[in-house]
Amino acid sequence: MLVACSQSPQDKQGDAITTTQSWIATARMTGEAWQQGKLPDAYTEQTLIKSQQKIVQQNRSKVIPSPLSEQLQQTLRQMIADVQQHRRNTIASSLEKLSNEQHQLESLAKNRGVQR
Amino acid sequence: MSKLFEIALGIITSIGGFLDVGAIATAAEAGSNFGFQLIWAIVLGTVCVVFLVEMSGRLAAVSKHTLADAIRERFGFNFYILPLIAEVIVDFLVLGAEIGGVCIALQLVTGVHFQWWALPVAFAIWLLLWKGTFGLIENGISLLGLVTLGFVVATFELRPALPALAKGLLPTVPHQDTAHYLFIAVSILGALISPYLFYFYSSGAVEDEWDESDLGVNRAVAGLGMGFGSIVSLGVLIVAAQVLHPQGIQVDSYEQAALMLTQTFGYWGFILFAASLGIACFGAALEVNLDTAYVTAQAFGWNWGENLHPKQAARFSSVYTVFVFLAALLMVIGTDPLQLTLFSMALTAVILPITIIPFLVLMNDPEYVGQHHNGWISNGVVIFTIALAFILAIVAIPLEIIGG
Repeated sequence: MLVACSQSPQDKQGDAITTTQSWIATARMTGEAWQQGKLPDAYTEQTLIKSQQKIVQQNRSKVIPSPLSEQLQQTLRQMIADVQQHRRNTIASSLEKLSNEQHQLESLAKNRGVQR
Repeated sequence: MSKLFEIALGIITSIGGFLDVGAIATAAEAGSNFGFQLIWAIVLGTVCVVFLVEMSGRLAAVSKHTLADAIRERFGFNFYILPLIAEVIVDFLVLGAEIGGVCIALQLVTGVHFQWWALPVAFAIWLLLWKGTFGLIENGISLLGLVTLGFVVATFELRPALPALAKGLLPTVPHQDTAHYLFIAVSILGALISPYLFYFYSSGAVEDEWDESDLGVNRAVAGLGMGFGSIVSLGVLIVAAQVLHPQGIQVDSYEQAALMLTQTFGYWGFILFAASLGIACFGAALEVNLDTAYVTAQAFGWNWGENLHPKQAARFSSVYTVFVFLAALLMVIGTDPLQLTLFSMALTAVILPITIIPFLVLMNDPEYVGQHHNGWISNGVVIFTIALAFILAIVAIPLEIIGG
């Protein structure tokens, strides 16, 4: 409660966007490393699920527009399915989508004056 | 054992044992959030800890008193009760965080959720303390800890820009996220200047029956061992700054930190991270648990010693037995290990003044240290550290609320 009281609504929005960006970057780096055989399946799956949960958690206050948020969730779901079914070749298209969504979020952050 | 071998072993074990959950978490968070900007905090903390550890060892070697014993005897039990309670509370949280670090390492490798590992890990810690000797804990686990040098190797492989590193040696306050930056700085200092280290080190010196002929070993272990050990911490910060920061990953979970070494070492980098985290935290958990038993037994005048059979030091052994399983419950109930780590490091900063002030008196009292009393440089560092500790104690909790 103290943390909530000490932050302005703008700060909270900025934090939510930054944290979301961080977890998208985590999912992307994890997916890329898994594709190259640098990470075990169990860890990759758990980290992608955690990224998904964190992004949902950060977006409770609807900071990210619904279409983008839904796209992100769908991309992460697809990546999790790829990992579960050991499809190292097909994850490339999900990673490309994630990269586009990452750029969209960066533009949104810039427009709202969020700096990292 | 020749003195030279003793010095070499002491330095190697100090390097291997330097990292713990606090050092890994705070350095990874610092590097991923602020690049090289918080290097100064690690350097400053190391200078303070080198001097204070050397003093703890000197006190034990000359007076044959552990730090806890000396504080109780010189200031009275009524004074000692304060640092004792503070130390036990902080040790409890730190032990929970260290157990959490081991559990996370096991989760990374096996995929089995960390909560399931808490009790088996606590049992392994207890078994090693029950059956092992001080030498095994001091040397064996710390030697395994040399695996953490992987961060130093990765640093060289990543070739960071030297001018940027040098810039990080100067404290600067960023324009954005200032509260978070200061909170991490406080946590780094709390993680490095850990009171448990001083109590543990002086108790170990008494267990090893140090005398005045060991003062050289003490100086070398404290200065070189801790100095080189801090290079591992710097390695964690630099690797996080080089690998995670440019990607925009801000570590707020160990899963994110686990990606750090994959860029340099591929799949084995992931395994190396898990091994470093697991071994470093396991070693530190043994030390913290033992430290709690030391300070409690020394406070009440009970028999104590890791080299004694548990029957000969029954109450001492009971303390670490109960304590380790209680701390493991923090993980069983699902407390976030990284958040617990950062909170306990900030709390460590809060209790620093009451631990460090007695150094100034004891290290200048001829009844304890005879002719080996502090010179003006050591006294200057203690006074500076006390002032720093007061500042940290005042700002730690507000920063935890605003920037944690």
